[in-house]
Amino acid sequence: MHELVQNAINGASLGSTYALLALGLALVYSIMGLINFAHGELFTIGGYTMWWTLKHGVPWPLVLLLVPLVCAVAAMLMERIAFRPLRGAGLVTLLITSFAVSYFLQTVFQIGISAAPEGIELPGWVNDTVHVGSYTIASVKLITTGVTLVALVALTLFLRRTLLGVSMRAAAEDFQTVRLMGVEANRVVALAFGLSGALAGVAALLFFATTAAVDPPTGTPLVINAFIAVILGGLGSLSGAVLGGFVLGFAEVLFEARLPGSTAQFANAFVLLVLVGLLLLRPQGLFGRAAAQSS
Amino acid sequence: MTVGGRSVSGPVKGPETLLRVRGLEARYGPIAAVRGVDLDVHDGEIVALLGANGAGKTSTLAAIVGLLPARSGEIRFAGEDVSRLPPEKLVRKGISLTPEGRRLFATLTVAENLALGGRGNDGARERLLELFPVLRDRLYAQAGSLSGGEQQQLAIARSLMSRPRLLLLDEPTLGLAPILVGAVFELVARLREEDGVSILLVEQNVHRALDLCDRAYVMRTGRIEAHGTPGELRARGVEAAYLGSI
Repeated sequence: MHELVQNAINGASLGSTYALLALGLALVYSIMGLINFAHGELFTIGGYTMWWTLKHGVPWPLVLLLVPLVCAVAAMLMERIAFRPLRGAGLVTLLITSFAVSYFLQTVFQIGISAAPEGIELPGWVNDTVHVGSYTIASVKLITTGVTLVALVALTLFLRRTLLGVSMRAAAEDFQTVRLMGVEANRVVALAFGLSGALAGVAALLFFATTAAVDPPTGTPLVINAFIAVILGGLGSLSGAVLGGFVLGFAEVLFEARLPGSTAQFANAFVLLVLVGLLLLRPQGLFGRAAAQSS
Repeated sequence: MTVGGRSVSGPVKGPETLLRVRGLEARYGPIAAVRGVDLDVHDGEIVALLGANGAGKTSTLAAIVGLLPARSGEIRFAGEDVSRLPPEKLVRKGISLTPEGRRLFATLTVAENLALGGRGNDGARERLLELFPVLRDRLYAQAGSLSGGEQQQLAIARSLMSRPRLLLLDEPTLGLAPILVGAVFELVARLREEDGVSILLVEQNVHRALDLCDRAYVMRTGRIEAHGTPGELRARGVEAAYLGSI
């Protein structure tokens, strides 16, 4: 029981990172039909922003604000420079473009910063632990889960309560018709990218607060896992992406902790096996719509 | 209180040309869907755009509001050249399209659909709930859960939230029960009479459309084949010739 609770906390923490990244992917996908693999590099930009600001003595509360902001701006620039000229292009063109942006940015990091990992000088309190009864919990993991929940609630309120948020949900359903309502297409797309960037920034804060090192390809495996989470939740469903992220996080932690002996190194294979099983049962994902959407 | 048209004050003018379309062409990829359409809607008019399936009626409306970017020709609205404006700008000028198939945001509530139509300006909502009382009871229901007739009413109400001077209605009675078809036609007449909204109506229901409209255009393979008042068109046997008997 004791170990299971520890596993659950670790799972929630890892799942948070996946959920935030998956939500960003799903936001952009639902509006543009683009699976943005360069999303991982936004996350990496968040890591480098942490590294640079903390190295230069920027106080950490300011870093907490700066990282999501820098990532949001980077995401909007990415949209403006790489994707807007291709508006209306097919899925494959957009997908390949996102790979190109991803590799381009990784190369920029290698040449401009370093191919080797850079250590992030975290403030001392991230290593604190709290004792609850007989449990010892790294406070950063609690913060991670808490921040994720706050970010999700804030995004939900924005999408439900503001006209711009309602426009985004409408645009996710039917982009052409939302233009008939007088909503500027470019604004909605830029906003979707900005939000997805900010979410990647929050994910980066949480992730790098535990790993404390960033190198150019850091984001790639994470964005692939986030993509798996999106598929698991149901492509295009925002709540599905979040749920998929947490399921993936829990599954990964549980398999790593529970598999006997040397089989633990195959944890990821077991995770993927479970996902294949789930998708066989529900090919549309957990929250996906059964029928194909009309375009 | 009116939904749309600004009330006319000062000297009484003759019927102003609200919408003037000349030489409109539009294509979907290699397919020319609209091939040189000329049409006018005067202030306060109900104009019907008729024709068989595939004649280019929906494409004409889509091209007018800028949903088909590959278009050429001249479109003037209230004297202003709007040929190059994207759909989001045209709504602000006062042209609103109720698209074919309603295109409601099905997962959003009725109230949210309406709010989007007015871009947050709820000024027209009370009047519209008076015109469509059924929507008042369903304000917080998901649009996708409404019946077909309710959905059509919501689609029209949503396009009226922006207080347009000109409403483009694409097949508003498609798939509706006969009793609801009559209600939609009555509503169109009321919108013109009480709210001063001019209407360009695409309709399969030729007889009823001719009964209602002031003038009609008949399209065939992307061109205007005939136009005139309902009396003139009927005298020329247009119903049978181009539209098939119904």
